[in-house]
Amino acid sequence: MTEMKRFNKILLLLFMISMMVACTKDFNEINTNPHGFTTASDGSLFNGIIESMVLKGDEQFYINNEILYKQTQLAAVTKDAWGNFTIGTEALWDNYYKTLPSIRELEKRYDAAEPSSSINRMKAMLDIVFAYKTFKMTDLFGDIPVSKAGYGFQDLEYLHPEYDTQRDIYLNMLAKLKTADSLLSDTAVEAEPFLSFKAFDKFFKGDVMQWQKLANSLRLRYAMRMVNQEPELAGEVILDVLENNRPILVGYDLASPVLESACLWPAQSGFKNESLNWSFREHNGLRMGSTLWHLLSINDNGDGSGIFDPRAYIFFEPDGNNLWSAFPQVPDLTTPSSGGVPYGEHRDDAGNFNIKGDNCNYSPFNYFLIRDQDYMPIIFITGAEVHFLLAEAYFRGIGVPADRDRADIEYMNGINSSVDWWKKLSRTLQLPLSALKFKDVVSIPQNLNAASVLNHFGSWIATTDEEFLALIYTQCWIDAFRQPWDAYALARRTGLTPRDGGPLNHFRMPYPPSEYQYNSTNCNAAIARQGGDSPETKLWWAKK
Amino acid sequence: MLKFTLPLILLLFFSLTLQAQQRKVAGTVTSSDDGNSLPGVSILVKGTATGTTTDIDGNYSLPNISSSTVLVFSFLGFQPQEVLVGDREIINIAMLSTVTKLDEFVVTALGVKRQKREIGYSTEKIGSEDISRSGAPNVINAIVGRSAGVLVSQGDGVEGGTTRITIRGNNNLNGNNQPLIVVDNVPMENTPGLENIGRGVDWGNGVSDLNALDIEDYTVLKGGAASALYGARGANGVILITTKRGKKQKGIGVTYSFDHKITHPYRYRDVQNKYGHGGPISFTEPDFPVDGEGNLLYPGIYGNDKLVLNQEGATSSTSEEFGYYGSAVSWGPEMKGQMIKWWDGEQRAYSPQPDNYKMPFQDGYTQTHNLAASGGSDKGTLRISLTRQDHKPIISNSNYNRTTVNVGTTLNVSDKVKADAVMTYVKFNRLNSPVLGEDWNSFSKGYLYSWPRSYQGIDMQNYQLADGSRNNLEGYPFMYVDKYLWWNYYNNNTSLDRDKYTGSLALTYNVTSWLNLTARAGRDYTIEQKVATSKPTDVIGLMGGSYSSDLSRNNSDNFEFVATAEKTNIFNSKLNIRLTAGANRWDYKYYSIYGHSGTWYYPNMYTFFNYTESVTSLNEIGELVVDEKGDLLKDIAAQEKVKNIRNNSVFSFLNLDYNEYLFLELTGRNDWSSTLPSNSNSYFYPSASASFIASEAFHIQKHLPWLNFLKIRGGASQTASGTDPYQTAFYYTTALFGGDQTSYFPTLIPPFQLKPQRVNSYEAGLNIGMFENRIDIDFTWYYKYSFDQILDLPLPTSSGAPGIRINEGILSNRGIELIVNTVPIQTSEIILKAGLNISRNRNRIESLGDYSDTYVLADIWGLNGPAIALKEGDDYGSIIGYDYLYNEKGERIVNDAGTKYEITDTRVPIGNASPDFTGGVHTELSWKGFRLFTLVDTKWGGDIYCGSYVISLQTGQSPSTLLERDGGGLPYTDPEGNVRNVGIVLDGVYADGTKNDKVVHYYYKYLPNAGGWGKFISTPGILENTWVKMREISLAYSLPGKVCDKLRVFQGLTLSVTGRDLFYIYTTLPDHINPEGVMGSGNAQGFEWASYPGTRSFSFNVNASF
Repeated sequence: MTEMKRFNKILLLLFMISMMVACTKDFNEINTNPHGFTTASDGSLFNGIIESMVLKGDEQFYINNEILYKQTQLAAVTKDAWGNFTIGTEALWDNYYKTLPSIRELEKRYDAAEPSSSINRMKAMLDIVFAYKTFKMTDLFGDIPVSKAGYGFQDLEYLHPEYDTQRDIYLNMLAKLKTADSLLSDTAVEAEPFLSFKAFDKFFKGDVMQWQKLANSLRLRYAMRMVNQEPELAGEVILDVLENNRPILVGYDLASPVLESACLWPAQSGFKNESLNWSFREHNGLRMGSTLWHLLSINDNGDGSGIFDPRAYIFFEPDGNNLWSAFPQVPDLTTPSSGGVPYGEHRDDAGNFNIKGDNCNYSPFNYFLIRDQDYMPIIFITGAEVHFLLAEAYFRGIGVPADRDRADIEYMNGINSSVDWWKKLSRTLQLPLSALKFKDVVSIPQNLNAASVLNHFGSWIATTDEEFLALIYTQCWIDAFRQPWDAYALARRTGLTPRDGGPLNHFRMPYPPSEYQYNSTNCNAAIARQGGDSPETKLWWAKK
Repeated sequence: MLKFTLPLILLLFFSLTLQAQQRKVAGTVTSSDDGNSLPGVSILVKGTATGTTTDIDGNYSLPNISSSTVLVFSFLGFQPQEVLVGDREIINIAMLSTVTKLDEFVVTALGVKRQKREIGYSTEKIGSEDISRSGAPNVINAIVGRSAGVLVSQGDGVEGGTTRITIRGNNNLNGNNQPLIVVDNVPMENTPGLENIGRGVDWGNGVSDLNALDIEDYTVLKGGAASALYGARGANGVILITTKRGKKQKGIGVTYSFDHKITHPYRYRDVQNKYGHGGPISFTEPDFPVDGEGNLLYPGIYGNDKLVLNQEGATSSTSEEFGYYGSAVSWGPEMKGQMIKWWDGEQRAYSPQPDNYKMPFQDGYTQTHNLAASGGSDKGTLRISLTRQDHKPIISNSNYNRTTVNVGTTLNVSDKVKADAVMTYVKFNRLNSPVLGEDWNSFSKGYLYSWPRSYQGIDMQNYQLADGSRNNLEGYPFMYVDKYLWWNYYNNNTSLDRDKYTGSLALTYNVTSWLNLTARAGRDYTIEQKVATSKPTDVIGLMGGSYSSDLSRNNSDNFEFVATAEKTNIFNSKLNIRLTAGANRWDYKYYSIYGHSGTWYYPNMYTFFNYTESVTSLNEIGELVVDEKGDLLKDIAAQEKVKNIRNNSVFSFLNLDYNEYLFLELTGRNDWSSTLPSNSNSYFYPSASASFIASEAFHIQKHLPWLNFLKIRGGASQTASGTDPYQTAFYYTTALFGGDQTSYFPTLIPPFQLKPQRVNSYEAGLNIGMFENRIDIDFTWYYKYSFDQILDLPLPTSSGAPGIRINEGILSNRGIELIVNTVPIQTSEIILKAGLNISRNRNRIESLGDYSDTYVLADIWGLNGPAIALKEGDDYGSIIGYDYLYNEKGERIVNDAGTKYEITDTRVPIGNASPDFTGGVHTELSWKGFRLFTLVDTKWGGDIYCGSYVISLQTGQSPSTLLERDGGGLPYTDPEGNVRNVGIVLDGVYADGTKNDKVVHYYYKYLPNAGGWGKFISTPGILENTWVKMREISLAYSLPGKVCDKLRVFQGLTLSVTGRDLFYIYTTLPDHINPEGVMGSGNAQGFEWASYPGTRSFSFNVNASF
């Protein structure tokens, strides 16, 4: 009897266990990652896109410091380069394409949303960043996947995207910028969801006018960049901006400095540009080159007595022997080798600032410029560049009637803006540990200013049209000292930027190995269309 | 005890003589192996049901026995013996142990003990003796060379590292391919361990926590049918481990064993000791740089773009000509003891350093003490065991120890209820595990890639200054390792502290004679803490100091309920039936928290709290200004990890047995896995297996007397498994930028339709026993088809993600296994056993889905070098890399200068790591108390990418690089016009097909054409890796039972010496590179890079029972 009771109890237990087991109760809860985010706000996605505009270490190291400074001759690579540029091209590719799904997601959201001023503004800001990033990529590689790229998360049909021609990319992105400008012209009072969204805007803190200026300034830049290939289309864009008085970034307004620019300012936006110093410290091969030096100083005097351009003091500093010394842009067998550790973090520590290591016998980049992770901005476009673009447009009569006087004024304002902008910046730069400010360490002689530059590079010294254009390009090139990719574009477009040795024979970056390996059909089609994948292959806009 | 038994026997003797016809017969039964008495031996009067069993001392007595009686002695594990009584009254029997494996018992799914003969699938059993004798680094390694189809490998590194086990190849394209380990019916957590093939720190995996001395035996269940009842987790096979329980025994029931093992590194890579440091910076004879005063200076490594190519003065750059090479380049001047100004400024002799890379190695040892007590009565049994192991590996600063307490008990609660409980506690402490492979703190990389043959270890001796601060090593000329490697090695310590509790409790209730219920609960609970400290590098104790702590909790709970109904001779037929049904729940919970200090504020204080607060203020124009640099809160905050899985199952199995020669087993199981989406998280899978003992069914032995056993078996089964948690939802990655949240898409497109991964297996086998089972042969054929495999395939980044997770991979395994066991000699004095096993597995990638035909399992340098990959249509473990370009005649194409081979644009298959077969041969000779065991095993075929080989050519370390330098080359005219016999001609043709005849400097043979980092030829690194190894020789001596009895101290005493991993009988790798130095225990096997030297070990063991 008791046996049976016990048996029944056990059967009951068995039943209970089976009931418990057979169901999938709590599975949802168990299989939810408590630390995973299943939703993302528009603002947080946008913030990620903005973050992607901060230059990454590998891009700076392997592309800028290894290749672009050398090719543009904005500086000299003193040692044989590491040559493993594929790390850099992969980094560029990663940066652009891993951000693209966020852009596609926001596009999808805005397309689906009820149109409103808020949505328009958000969409416009997104498109401006998208256009900037895309132009930068296509200008380095040529044809790249754009219109079908970045959709992998939305549709599995788009896992191996075809390449767009550079021409299509240019026209599409210029159209996007134009639309963005008009969307941002809406003067409706700011409301939600834009108010929440703009808190995430680390670029302009939701200042719509700044975005509009950036959009139109970029339109000028990229219209000009394709001018040799598409003069009429380029002219239309430039005319549209100027004729309709679209807001643009201004360096000088008549004779008064405005010194506008579009930059990411780390301290203001609350981040640290950590890879900046690494890319110089570990590379350690960049020094002042003879080409730029000879445009900043009238002679090679080591005491700097020949320097007439204050930017020499901002961009570079004397070598380990406290002398100004440029590495020859085209070295020969007799060139003494370069040494030292001028970019080492040891210089942050009190009393160590002047230790540049043994054999630091060429002028390094100014330590503040490559060390200050808080106040040295990441530059996208400056007011000075806009002036130089306008100088070229007026001089060549692109979109607007040719006007030599107007061109002179814009050229002069370009120099004024550039020199003043860099001088102003230099006063804010400081070292992270010591809080040493730039001006306390390297004082720029008082007599050096925009006027001393103009004394040497005033438009009046040009005797031919080509010489004047070369002046414009030279100054635009100097202003782009920390945008070597833009200087590279200028050099390729014009062939008139300063240069020692033979003409430029480097026009693009080869596609990264991952595209060869995983998107071979489309990659090979693009290569065939462009006539090769070597650096010597010219981009569409540089073909003429 | 002797006191009582002797008079008793005498008494018996006298009483028996009184009854001449019907006497009492008595005696002692012992084992012929060790002379120990055997309790519980059954003694039957032949032809009757009368009989008895031996008592705890092995004694028996039977009354009323006539002279014509035949006594049958039988005992599990021993050969039955029949004895005619005759006129004897004392019959002592020494029983021979069973030498055949055919009728041994094995443990099968859910802990059911079954006779091996009735099972329809392949199993193999390893006994406690094999385990403890082998001196293997861990329990599972004892199976190496012993079992067909089971591959066990120990990754590169030192003792205590991870072990990789696979049974019949890989079932999954990616993810865990290792079998489930079940200890006393409780599945154990065994993470794969170090999976990175290129670099990392190997802290070992769960297998190493199993204590060999507590294990009774383990059984390997290979096929799907065998493991179907462990569900998803058993898909890769199951290793069932049974720990020891107490038993009634003689004496006080205490055993003590001591083992001392010495591990000796012996197989170092061969190197040349003639030429020292120097890069390929000139084609003229290597020479020292000279300073203004004429002092010889330390040679340089890197040239620049001033490399003079020829007499015309054309120049190039060293990287253009030779690619990227490590600073270990030893292409410098001959070492003749010249005094030169060393890099540290001292004058030192530039002399050969033949032993420089033995410097960090030493002899290691392992000491094990084990004390166990066990006993039992009718009420139950108890065994308590305490084990302490201390290890000193072959490198310093890496000692570890382990203490294990094991308690096993059985309790007969009542006639019908039995309880079984086991509890194990393991305490493991380890200080540092070496940094392996391609890491800036890996000294084995240093010796291969960064330090040349003239390396004198100055940085190793002087890493610290007298005041305890770090020596800045001014002038340190080596690259690609951390300049402060030795400082870091001794001062940046990580200690691991693990507490592991495993326990299980089972309650069995025999409700009726035919119904039996079992409830079981088991837990595997581990708490692990890793504390890493970096000593400050300055005197004050602030700079460079760091502290971190990683605390994790790993909990796996298993609940099971099983009911078994059994009925024999159904309807008076010869059919026996057993039906089992049950339910199981497995809960897995993982949590970890990790934190670290920041920029130190307090000197020498190792704690989270040691960080520097950032002080900021607003300047006059409202911008944020950092007044004092400090740590950002987001960088300091602790991080957590969580992982939860639940699996629920119901299962049932049906066993039919007809007349003890036909056996059938059917199983079915349904799982519900929390890791899968709701529409696919319930899945069923069945199995069937049968075995037919033809020899009994057809009485074959009557016709063929030598064939005493013939069994045919076969089975088909399916297993299915879930996956890792948290894949069913889409998760954004998130971070902070500018103080606000950022969201990103993940780097992987998640599977839109996740399903369970499945494996279908088919198996057939044949067992033959011949000459009274003196020869027994077991042959198995199997085929496995794995489909719906989950894996991550690469995509072009331009799609928005560099990868996609798919659920449609397919792979297959087909293979054969052959096991032959023989007993060539068997007398009452000598037994010689010999066994052979051999297995071959082909693991083919059938499909990788629509998105890619290649899947990279692992690589070291991304696209800048070779990789281990899966390639559709190829065997598992393709090695892909940049290959030569061949013309249509198969000749290699060289460039016009004759300096370099042309190579492929993309990586193509250049080798495959799958071996042709693996196998082992073992012999065991027993004579009196001695036992001699030998084991040879082999891996035959299969390639590896041998990084050490390539780099030692590239850096001029390999002895083979001496050939041309010593004048054995072709006449070559250098840029200065000197002619020396140092030239070579690359074997190949130009693009137009004409043969290359250009004599170039020997650098071109070794530097750009050997391989290395970057887009360089990978093919020269592919080497066949075949080896045959003398794995084990051991000799044991057991004191005979009689001697023990006389000594009256021991109940038994065994002494043994074992040599393990003794030497290679045959190997194909050049330069004595370690053939088993393949890194890691992940799926990617076949990549060697800066491996440790090979080691051998000798152990001495004493085992005494009291």
